[in-house]
Amino acid sequence: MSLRITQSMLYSRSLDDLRRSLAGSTRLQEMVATGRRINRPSDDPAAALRILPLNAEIRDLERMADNVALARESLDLAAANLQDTSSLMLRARELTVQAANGTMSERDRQGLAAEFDQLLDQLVSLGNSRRGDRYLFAGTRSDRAPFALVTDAAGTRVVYSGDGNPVSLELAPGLDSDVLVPGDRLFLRRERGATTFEGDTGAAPSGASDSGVGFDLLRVTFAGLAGAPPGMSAGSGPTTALGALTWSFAGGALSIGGGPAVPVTFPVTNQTFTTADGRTVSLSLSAAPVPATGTLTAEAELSIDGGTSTARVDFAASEVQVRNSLEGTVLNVNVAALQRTGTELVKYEGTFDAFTSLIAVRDTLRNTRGESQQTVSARLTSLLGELDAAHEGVLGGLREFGSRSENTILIGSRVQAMRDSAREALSLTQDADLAESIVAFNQQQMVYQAALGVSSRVIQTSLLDFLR
Amino acid sequence: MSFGMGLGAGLKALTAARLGIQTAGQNVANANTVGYSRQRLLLASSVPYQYVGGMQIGTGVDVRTVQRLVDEGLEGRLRMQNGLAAGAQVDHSRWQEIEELFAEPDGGIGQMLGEFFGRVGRLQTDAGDRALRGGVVQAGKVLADGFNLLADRMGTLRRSSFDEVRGLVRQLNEKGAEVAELNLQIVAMEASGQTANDLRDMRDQVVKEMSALADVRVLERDTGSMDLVVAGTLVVAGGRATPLQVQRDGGTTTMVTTVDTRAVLNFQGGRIGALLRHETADNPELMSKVDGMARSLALELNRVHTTGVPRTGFFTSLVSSFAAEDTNNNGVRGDELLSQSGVPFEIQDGALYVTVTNKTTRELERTRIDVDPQSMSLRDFAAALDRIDHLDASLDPVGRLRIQAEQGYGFDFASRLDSSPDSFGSFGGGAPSFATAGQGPFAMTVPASFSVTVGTSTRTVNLAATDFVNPAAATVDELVAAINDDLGGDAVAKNVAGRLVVRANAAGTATTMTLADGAGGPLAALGMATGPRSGQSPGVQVEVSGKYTGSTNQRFTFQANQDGVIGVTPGLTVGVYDESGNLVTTLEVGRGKYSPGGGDLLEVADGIKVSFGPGTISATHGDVFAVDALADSDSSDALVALGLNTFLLGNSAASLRVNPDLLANPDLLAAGTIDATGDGSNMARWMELRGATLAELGDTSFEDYYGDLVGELGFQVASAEATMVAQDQLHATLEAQRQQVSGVNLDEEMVDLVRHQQAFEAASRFISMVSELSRTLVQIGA
Repeated sequence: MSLRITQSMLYSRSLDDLRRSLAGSTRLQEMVATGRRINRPSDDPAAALRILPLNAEIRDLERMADNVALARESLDLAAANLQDTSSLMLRARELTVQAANGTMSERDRQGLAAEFDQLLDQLVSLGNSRRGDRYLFAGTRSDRAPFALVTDAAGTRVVYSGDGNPVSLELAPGLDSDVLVPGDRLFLRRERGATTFEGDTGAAPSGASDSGVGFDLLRVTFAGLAGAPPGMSAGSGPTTALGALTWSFAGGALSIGGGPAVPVTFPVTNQTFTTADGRTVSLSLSAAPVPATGTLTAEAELSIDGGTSTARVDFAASEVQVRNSLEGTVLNVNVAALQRTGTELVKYEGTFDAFTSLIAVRDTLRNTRGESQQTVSARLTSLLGELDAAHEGVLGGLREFGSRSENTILIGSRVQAMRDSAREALSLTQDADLAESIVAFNQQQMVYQAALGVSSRVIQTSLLDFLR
Repeated sequence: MSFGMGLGAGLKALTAARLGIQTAGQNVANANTVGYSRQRLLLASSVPYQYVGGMQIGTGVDVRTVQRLVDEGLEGRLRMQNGLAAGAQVDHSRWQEIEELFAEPDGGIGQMLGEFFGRVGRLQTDAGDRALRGGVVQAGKVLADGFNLLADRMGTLRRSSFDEVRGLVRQLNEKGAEVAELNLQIVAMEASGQTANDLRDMRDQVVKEMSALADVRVLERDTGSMDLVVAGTLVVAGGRATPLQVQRDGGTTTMVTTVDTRAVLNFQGGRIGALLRHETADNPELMSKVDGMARSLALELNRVHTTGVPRTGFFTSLVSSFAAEDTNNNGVRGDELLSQSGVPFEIQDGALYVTVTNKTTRELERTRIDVDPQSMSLRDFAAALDRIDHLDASLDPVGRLRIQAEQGYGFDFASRLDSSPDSFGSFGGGAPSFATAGQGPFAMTVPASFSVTVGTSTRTVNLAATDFVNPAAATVDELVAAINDDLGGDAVAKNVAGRLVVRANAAGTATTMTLADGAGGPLAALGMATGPRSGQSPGVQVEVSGKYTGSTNQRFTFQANQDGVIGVTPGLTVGVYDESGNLVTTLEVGRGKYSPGGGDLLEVADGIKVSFGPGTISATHGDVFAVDALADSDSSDALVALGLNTFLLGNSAASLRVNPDLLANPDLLAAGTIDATGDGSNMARWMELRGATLAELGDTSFEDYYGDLVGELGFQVASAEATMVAQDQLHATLEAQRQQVSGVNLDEEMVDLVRHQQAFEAASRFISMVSELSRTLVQIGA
């Protein structure tokens, strides 16, 4: 028996076919309208699995590209600031060279010192540069100015109140880069060298580790007598001699430290005696010393914070640690040869950064120790080296920023390339090939129309048409 | 042959032809009637007439019956296929709807999640920016809203099954009753020998419609009646139909039962079966995955957030979002064990580190609270917090945990480093101190005594058997408690890194402290020096900086290896040990190696750096301090579970929301782990979380997990569509086969009409011929 085909079969078949053909057209129409091959996961589940991560990747890479732009902006700003710092250091050098010229008068030097004050203020404001309302060089404590000048008994110093955490940005996948280094690393460079003393007190560096920065002024002061015979006490006159001192009393005359014998009548009040090497001792005596000869000790106190805190010298030990209670630093002093009161200019080699070298030049110009023209000139000349070193430090930072900025450009172009390729991959996965879709759509339309035509014919014809 | 017989045969032929035309007419008329089966006239030649000589002469045609052309086997298969195709359609439409709800690949949770992490990444670039903070909080809200919306719409979709099933069951009842009624008619008609073709057609059609609704099995009886078993339950038996009813079980699950016996029907196929499967399996299974992700998101994000520090600095007061219920109904809130208190997240057996900071001196005190959910109640936990100095903790009347810091103090749970770890002063501090050489426990002989002299004041410390659980293994904490009882105000004992430290309360060079061993020799047993030792002014300042990069919680113990002055004594070193007592590193702090007080940093390990101020340290007196380096400051998850400083509240897709406090004030977003506004280190931890594989998500990341979910959904929809198309095709094929057998072909019917018409004409002709013959005979007789 051959296949029976009935009219309703024809109808439903035709209808099914038409429906299917129309569904295909609709899908193609959606593709062309949205430009996408995949409009919901079920369109191609395997591809949909790739689309979500690709979308996330592109978003990430876009964020990183933004970060790169941000990093470059910050780096360029920082570099511009360091450039200004460099100019400032050059200006400072010029002025120092001028000042080191022996022909300058004291007045001119004080005037220059005032100019250095301004330079210092400028330098601090450079260290406190901002981008928007964020301080560039404050680490993560970016809401407050990181640098401040503090002047107290111990002198002028700069205090850093930022933190040591660099600001890090994700510039490329897996690449977190420190974009902004904290200011302490940039402006405060420490490559500590030896400590040197300049003065005639006989105090010397001990060789133990010191922690001061730039210059410190070590004050050596007289702190009373020890081991003096009964009746002998320190006078209120100037005492410059320190350490062990011999006395000898003979024939109504007293000789201290091998100095000239001075005839005395008791009681002696605040009389100054001179030792063989020209140091002075102020003494009061109520009676002739017994025994007639002996050795006493002129005690000494050391201070590096302007007398805020002092360290008493123990002449039995050769070394004394002096603390700067204002800065928290220490200076270790070899006191074996300590013999005279006075001041020592302590220089911590290698600790001169832009701030400390400017402060040092200014303080030298002010000449608070009342040194001679030659000494001041010589010191200024030696400070040129420190200025250069500090400038070199700034230039080093500048170079670092420069290369980092360049590096950032490279990273930026790589990130962009990665983003573009991710976009392409996404496009390949989810976008419709428009030309192909349109061609396919037209094809589908043709098929649909043909199906319509054929169906109408098939459905129309029946034996009835021919039975008359 | 008689003429009468001839006329009879002619009449029969006429009748047959007329019936044939009528049948064809009926077929043509019902060509488009749904469920109509083609009918065919069955003819047979009449019983022949016995003629002389053994010949048989035919007597014409008999109309046997009007046959209904049906393939019963095919009908059965078609009924089954009907159910399958209808079920597949419902299945597909449900999955398609779910796919629309997820709105992927654009605009769904995947994008929200990406956007959220993108915002977090942006905040990381400038953690101090308030607008960026607001951006993170808002993106979190959008994400939470996305989860809420999805949960809501999925819930609505699920609940809609109930109404749909109710409608369908009503139809099922009506059709069942119809079948029962038709059964009665068919049995009655066929008992009287008639054929009930059209009634059977109608019944078949109704049953077919029922089979699209549910899985229907058909049992044909000999009487012609048809019993129907719906979803395993006899619903139509002969002329009686059992009505079904729909109800909600527990308010969520739709249940169909018989009205009379309340037997539960277990639908497998048809539209009802597909709807119920969606309601009880597909939808909840998918939602449980989404819920799992929401839960994991809340847990992981909160783990980081709770251990961070907001822009506003350390907390001065916090209230938990979890409020304890009185689950054991004893009238007291919070006395249930933490494991049974109904917290939204499980509390683990772990440790919580609480840090209290003096806002003026920035000195901090870190306390470790060991949390054991099997032995600790919420009240115990509050009490443990309350025991911390400068901290008040209690349960308020509604069962929430309130923590409050004293004026001038702040607290936090961050893993930040204690920048001045020796605030107690046991490492060359200003006041003289003595420490045991090693860690406890110690083998003590009790009773024992020793004396402590500070300046001129001497006190005797007595150690009794009652002070210890086991004197042969006396713990440091027991010793500390026992010694502090006797010390008075001159000195204090403390547990520092597992060592017993006794320290004078007065500082400076003028303070001298001496220990003297008494009965039982406790100092010898403890390995403590006796002194005398003087204080110094100021003491050694220890500062710790950097960020701990290790992966586990660690305690670094620093101890002096020699006696000497930092930066002065040649070869002076400090040994650093980890928790298990292994040497981590030896720090050179001697002459020419280290400049104290200049802020020079010494590398310790894992990102931790230390700097020392000037001063004397002593190995003889056991100078020691410890640095807690925390990778996870809350391994107990207590903060997350109780909702202290969380980013998200809720633990499911429906309940997820951003902590309203943060929405009101984005400054409360804990972007950092220290109280520096520019610190985005906690955001960095969130970013790390993004790529991290999470055990609770089957070792995938959030985005991968969600991507897999969406991919799976896509496959599900695609396969549902494929199934639907295949079932439809099969259905169409079977329908075509049925049409082949039972369908009406108009051409055929036309041919039949012509044939019967011709037969009618021929029969008429035969009759007229017979009549002519008889007239001829009559004429002969006339």
